[in-house]
Amino acid sequence: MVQPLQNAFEAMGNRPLEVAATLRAGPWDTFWSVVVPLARPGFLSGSILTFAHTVGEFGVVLMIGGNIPGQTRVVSVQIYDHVEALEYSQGHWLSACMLVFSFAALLTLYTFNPQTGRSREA
Amino acid sequence: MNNIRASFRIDRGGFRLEAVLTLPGRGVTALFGHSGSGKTTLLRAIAGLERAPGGFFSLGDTVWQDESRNIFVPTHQRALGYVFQEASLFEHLTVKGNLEFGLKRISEAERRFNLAEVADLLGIGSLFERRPASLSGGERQRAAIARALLTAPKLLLMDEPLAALDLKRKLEILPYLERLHDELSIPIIYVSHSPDEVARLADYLVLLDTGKVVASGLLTETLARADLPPTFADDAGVVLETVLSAHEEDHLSRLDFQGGSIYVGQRHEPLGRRLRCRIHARDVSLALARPHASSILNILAGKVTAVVPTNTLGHMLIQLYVGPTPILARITERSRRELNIQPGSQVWVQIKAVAMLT
Repeated sequence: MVQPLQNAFEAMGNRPLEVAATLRAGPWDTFWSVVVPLARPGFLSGSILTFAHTVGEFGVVLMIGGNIPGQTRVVSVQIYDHVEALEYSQGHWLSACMLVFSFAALLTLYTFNPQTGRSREA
Repeated sequence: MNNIRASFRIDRGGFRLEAVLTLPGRGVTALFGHSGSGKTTLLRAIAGLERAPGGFFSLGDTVWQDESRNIFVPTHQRALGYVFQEASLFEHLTVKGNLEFGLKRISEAERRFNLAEVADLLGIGSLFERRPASLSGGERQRAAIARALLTAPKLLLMDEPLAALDLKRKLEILPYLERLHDELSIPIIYVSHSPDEVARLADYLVLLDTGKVVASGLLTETLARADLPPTFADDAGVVLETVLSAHEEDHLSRLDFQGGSIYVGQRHEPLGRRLRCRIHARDVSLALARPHASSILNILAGKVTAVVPTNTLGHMLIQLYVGPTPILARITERSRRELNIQPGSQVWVQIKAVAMLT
């Protein structure tokens, strides 16, 4: 999440901030009315990357938290459980569902955010 | 008086800017110099975009920076407009959104222009719903100027607003800048490295070279100084403020200036209109006797006041006065020797070309 945002802020440069200052916008005003809207592509690609990363998260969930039997389950851990129990066909089905779901989610995000991926003019 | 007083000393590694200036609180002041002369740095310091330690800036009674009293008004609290060199419109807003950005951030009481007036002044009324990305360079720059004006600035700063444009776009914007000059009473500080723009727009001229103020004075007086030729090099020449005094039958118009008059191609303005024209030193030749068989129309009597070498070998710059009005002529060293032209010589001045600036 941080890196795409950082890229977006760096690509923006200081100029819009200076322009806003000469148009009487104070620092917070500038942040909300200029920086956030201009960094929108960065926010979106950040969200997409974070989402894509989280869907497939496995190790952290298993080791640290979020794996309370009967209460919280994560798809990737469920696949792991199926494999452990040698229920390969259920594991395959679940993997396929996950793949289709991720693909559909990312496709939707990219479709509704035409600015992502398009090179921005300086 | 509502003079502008500025004093900045900025030290940045290999570059040092030292400027102590008193500028008129009206009209257009041009900061002229080659790239690297510090003119943009000076403008940014005036705007408060850079904080110069020990700096001072005041506009009339309003002090924006006085480090000796620990005063530094941040840029967003200064009543100034700033037009950047490249188009600086916010890409996420329409043209109208850009124009309103500054307008809605000042109080009703502060407002001096409304949207329609300014759009009309800069000819951008039809562009309101467009996105900046779809505008031409000239349109963007006009929108940026309009946006700055709508904040009702008490000082308008322009950093080479035409530099990023091609000649055609420049010619498209120049008339609008002239209108700002003629119709608004806001002092403008205009950074430029183009002698033509300066001659057309400025009333007051500050010459900067490697961070130092070389000269500062009224445009007409400063351009006529013979001791500054390297700054303008081949573009040396004077600007005359004239009054249109007659339309003659053979499609010529007469312009009067203090000390004489000149003829130019027919003008269409009404008589009495003030017109500015430029006479390049390279378009002026000198003769000892009044030429009587010459096709040149504009022949005036003058008295030489200074002879200095130019930075082109073998060429001299001659300063002479026609009445109280100074004119520069550029002649070869050989001609100067053969005519024995020296300070005090009485000469006939032949003007081959007059460039109208308005």
